[in-house]
Amino acid sequence: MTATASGEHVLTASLYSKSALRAVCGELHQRYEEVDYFPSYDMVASHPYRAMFFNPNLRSVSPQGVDYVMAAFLGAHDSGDKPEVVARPETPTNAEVHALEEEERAACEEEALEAFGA
Amino acid sequence: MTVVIMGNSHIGAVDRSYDRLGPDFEPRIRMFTAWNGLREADAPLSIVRNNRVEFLSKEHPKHAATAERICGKPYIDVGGPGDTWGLAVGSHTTNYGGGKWIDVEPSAICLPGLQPMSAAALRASIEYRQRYIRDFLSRLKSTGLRLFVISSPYPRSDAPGLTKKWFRPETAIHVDRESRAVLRDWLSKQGIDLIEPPPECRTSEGFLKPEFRLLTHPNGLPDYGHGNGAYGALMLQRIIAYLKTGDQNADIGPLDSGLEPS
Repeated sequence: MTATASGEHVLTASLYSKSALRAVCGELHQRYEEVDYFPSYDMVASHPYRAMFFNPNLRSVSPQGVDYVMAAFLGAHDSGDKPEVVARPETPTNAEVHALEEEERAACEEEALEAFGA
Repeated sequence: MTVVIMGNSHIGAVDRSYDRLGPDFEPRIRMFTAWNGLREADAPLSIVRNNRVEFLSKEHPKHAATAERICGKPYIDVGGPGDTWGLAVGSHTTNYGGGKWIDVEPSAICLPGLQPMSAAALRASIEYRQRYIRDFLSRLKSTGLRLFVISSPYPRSDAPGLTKKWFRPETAIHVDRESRAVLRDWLSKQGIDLIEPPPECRTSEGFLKPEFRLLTHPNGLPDYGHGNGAYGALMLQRIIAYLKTGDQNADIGPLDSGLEPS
């Protein structure tokens, strides 16, 4: 997390939320025989991995980290042939997405003002 | 019968067609926008207080000014039983627009390599995005008004996220269909009627037909989300049919020759 509305420091809020989610996963795994737990979070975030799967911002997970986790997952579940990964023809930047959303908002305002504006 | 129609910008096309019917057309309808549809999921739209609807959206000064010009006050008196209100809510662009579906697809249609979102998670996210809509409609209905909801047009296949191939047409259609279904189910449970978009405006894939698109605004700003005058005429036809019959699926044919799609 980069921000929190909880009133706590973002560091403690982030660790708390992840811990709570991890605890829920663990409880479900222990309570229900048909529920399995795959430790993707543990593989990326726990201290033996020395944060090496994080991007330089130390927040988002790097492609190498995703590959490492998915290789373990697919290996553990005998998925057969590796599925072909469909790449998007175009992957927009955050700025492009923001610009588009602003354009959509402006068009809605314009339509409203055209019909009912002074 | 007092009829008020308010809501997001998609009633613009309907209003332009209504104006063409002339001042003697019955029923008389007070029609105006009250919020930007892209804000419907972000914050409460309006509040019902002291038997009046007050505006809360970020752009509310503009919408309040519109209401003041039309109603003589910067708010709207609710009126009472016997009055009818139509709300244009549930904007489709908030559901599939922008960058929401770049890395994620609904699990029912998800391609390999993209992150699937389960049907339950999709439904929960839609319900979350509709929470302010539901709250506002519930409060309005509790005043005793006869209430109905006016759908937004079908998605447009020329939406930038689609033409730029940021996400697939199948995703837009799936999310739009689910969003409409969630809203439709909730409205049905509340006893609130829903005026669906004219089926003749829909392509076989589920998009708005090109001839019903609003393309540009007078100031040159391109538009990728709204219906044009021809669409508005057909939607108004459905709304008038509903007001006259009480049947949300009624079809009473063209209102007059001036409203034929052009």
